[in-house]
Amino acid sequence: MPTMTMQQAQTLRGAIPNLDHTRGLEIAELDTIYVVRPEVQDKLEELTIQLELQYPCKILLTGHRGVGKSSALTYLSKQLQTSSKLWVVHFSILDDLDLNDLDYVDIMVLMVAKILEQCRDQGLDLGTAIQKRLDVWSSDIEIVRENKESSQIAVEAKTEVSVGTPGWLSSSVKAFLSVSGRIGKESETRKTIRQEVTPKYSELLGIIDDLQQAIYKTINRQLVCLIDGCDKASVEASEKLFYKNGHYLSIPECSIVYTFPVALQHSKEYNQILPYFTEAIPIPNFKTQSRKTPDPAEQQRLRNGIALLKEVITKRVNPNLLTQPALEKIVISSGGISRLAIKLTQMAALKALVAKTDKIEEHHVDAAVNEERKVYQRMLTVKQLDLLRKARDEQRIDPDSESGYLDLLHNLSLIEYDNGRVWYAVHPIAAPLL
Amino acid sequence: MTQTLEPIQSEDVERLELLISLSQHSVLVFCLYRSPEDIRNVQNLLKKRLNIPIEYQILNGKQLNPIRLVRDLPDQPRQVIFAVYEGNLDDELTTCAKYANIQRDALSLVEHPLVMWFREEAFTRFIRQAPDFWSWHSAVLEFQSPSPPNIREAVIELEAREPELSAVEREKIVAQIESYEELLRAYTNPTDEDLPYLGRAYGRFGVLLGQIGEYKKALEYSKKAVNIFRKLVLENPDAFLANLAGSLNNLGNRYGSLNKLEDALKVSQESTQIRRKQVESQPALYLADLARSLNNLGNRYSSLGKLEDALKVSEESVQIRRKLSEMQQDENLADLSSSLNNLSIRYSSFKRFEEALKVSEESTEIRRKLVEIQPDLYLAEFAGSLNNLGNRYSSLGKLEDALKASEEANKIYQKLAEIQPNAYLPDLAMLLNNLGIRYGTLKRFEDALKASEEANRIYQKLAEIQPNAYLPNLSGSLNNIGISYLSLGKLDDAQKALIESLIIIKPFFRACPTAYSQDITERIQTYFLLLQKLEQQPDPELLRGFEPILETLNIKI
Repeated sequence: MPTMTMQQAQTLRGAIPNLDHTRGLEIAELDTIYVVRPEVQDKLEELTIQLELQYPCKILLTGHRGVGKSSALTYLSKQLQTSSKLWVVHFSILDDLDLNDLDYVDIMVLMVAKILEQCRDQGLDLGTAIQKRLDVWSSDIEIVRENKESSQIAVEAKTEVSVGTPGWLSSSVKAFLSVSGRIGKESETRKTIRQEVTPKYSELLGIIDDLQQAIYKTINRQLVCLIDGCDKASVEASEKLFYKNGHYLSIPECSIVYTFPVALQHSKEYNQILPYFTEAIPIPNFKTQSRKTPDPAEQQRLRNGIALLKEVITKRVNPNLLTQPALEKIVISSGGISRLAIKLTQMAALKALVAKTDKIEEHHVDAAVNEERKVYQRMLTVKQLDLLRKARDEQRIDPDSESGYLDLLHNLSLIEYDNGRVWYAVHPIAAPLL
Repeated sequence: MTQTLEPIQSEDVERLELLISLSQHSVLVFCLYRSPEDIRNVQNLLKKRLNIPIEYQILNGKQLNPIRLVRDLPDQPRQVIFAVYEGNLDDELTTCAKYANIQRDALSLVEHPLVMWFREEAFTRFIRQAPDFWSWHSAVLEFQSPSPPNIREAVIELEAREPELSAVEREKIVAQIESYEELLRAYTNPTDEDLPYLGRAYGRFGVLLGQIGEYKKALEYSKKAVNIFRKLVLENPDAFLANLAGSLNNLGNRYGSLNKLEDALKVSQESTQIRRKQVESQPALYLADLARSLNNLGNRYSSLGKLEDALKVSEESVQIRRKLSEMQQDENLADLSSSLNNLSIRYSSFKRFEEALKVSEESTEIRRKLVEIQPDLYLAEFAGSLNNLGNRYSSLGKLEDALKASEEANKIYQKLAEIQPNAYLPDLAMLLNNLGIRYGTLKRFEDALKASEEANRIYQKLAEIQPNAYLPNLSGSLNNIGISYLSLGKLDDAQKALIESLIIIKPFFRACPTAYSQDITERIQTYFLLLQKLEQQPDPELLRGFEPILETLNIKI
């Protein structure tokens, strides 16, 4: 679906589409809309250096939902494209896989498909050796073999389109790409692929290794895969993926950055997951509240955090469309979660539009916050409210997955802050419910 | 009929319109509704404001994936999808939440706004199970029409008032009944989520009606409660089996009050059967309920003359309640006294009079203590125990003790029947009947006749309203009158009363011989004694139909 590049809105009506909090940023919007936070920029720059120097490495990119992991990944992708040493394949598993039923094999098969597609799209000549290797491997997968018949017919029908296709893109490989594209949609295909690939996972790893070598040989760059969406699965599915099968995600011979769910980062299993990966890089919330009475340095960090989150809003919406107290309240109420700040602004803008005013005022934000608080009120159980009280008083959590804290982190009623020392606070919108 | 939206809701329609028309991508909005009318109202208003068509889709067992509703549409033309959740609150809701939570990112790939409609309870459960999907919403708009009562809150509030109700405070019971009536009248369109509460309301309404003697209406509502819980059990047995067992137990009592003995037994058996199974898995939770069902089942067996069965389940009920009262004395003493009282009747049926007296005394003593603490709550039960105690003493020839107990019971029942005639006249009549017998055994025949005639007058009134329930009792009181006349030497009056007694009871004997054979045997013996004194021959027409009893008595006509 074609997407228009976002420009700063000059009217409240124009602000509504700009405040679509569900939409990820396009690379083209990074310069105009993305707010580069120094602490995130530093981490991503360090990561860029790490990816260039420590090959291959496996990175987990973590952080609260809505804090900007996908945007950070897009930013990283753009940064890496300027690298003379790295060749980036950036994709989201959400477009092709079924998160209801997710397996490490699905992700790796999809990764091979995405690498092959990008090679095809950029016309990379990977050479005859890889063609044979891919042919043998893909023909060895029965479902691909079956699919090859119909795929051949399709290719014949599209002969003209196929002109200029790289030589290594044989009918077997095309059939594989066709099948891999159906993993997410067809449970039978998924099942069959898993049945066939799982016992021969080492061969798949061999293919990845051969591909990265072929790419390196062709363009003299190392393969880096940025995989978005892995953080979107449920806590249980994530546990299966990273805890039970983390080893399989860590062994391919290329660098990979996976997004990783914040709830799992706080689980007791995390310590067993971490050794499989080179590093976990947290994308922190915007710092908008403090653990205790802030010292001058902390006050400065707070001011910076609030100013940056205000910038997230004012890059999308002309600051003249909000009063300063309204903007301040949005930022503080968001708890430092940028997606929520954007959403609250949209909710307040709609209230202002209905009230026939041309500016978002504080009471519009109050009404939006109250609405959001009502949803928290519905969502939180008595037991969860008790846990939140405990977390508020102790500013720490029990990482046992049975304790219930992980669900609170997952539903954003509890948020983590990191200013040298990790601490926890109840979300400002939920706090008055306690 | 289109309702007018409240001003605040009109603003929300405008917000919805702005959100849909100004957004370039898919928008997720949650809307809350109470009745389909609420959705239609919003849809009609929105249609006037939007240029985009609105497609109405249902989320239920056939289709539970809300994302698919927008994902599978062609990109153009842009459509608003109203996805109305109509699935259940359990597995279907979980599936729907799972789809939504996991596939939410697909919304960013489509342009069609998704407006999800939920009822309050379903929404709460949904967002708890789909926190990620929930975080994608742009607004939660409340369009519930305000008029109907919240049956859940109302039922919980009414139930909370019930422990304060005492059986003698008729006014309070009637007020409670009126509250239930008002609630049930206003509540015409139950949602699936409300059904358990509606079932509870019907059940309690039935019990309360039974307490004021409105047995027919009570039966109707007890049946409704059972029907609802039967339906709910099919969908979710774990959650509703206990309710079904309870409502069946109550229905058994309702049938019992109307003398529909076979029906009463059938549902009591079913209730007991369910509770037995529940006790197997969770004894701590269901043992008290099982004892209650067993106690009532004993009464049902007894009414049908199945005395062995009655004794067996009554003993089991006492055994359980004794154990429970040992663990938590205060809470279970009242129940134990009830089971003991019934067990004494069972023992007595087998002429195990010593045992019957022992448990009857225990029951009476417990209730005497309870009355001292809460007279209003336990007075009727105490009178019942005294009545039975009188019978037990009488069986052992302790006639003075028997009379004393019956007279004490009489005083209480007179008082209760004055306050609540519908509820306590039957008990008073029964007591007077027994009191007549007490006087008779002490050869105070005038007093006996007086008590029996008073009982007879009450039974006549009751039998006019509910012949099925009270004609057998009326027959019994006539028999006692006949005996009194016989003892007083007024043989013609005696004959008249005894013949009428046999005529009335005959159809009941034909319908259920085992339930009445013992009583009728005694009546026929009295009739032949009278004939002997009158030097008359029996009336073959009168005795036709009683052949099995005549055969037992070795009488040939």
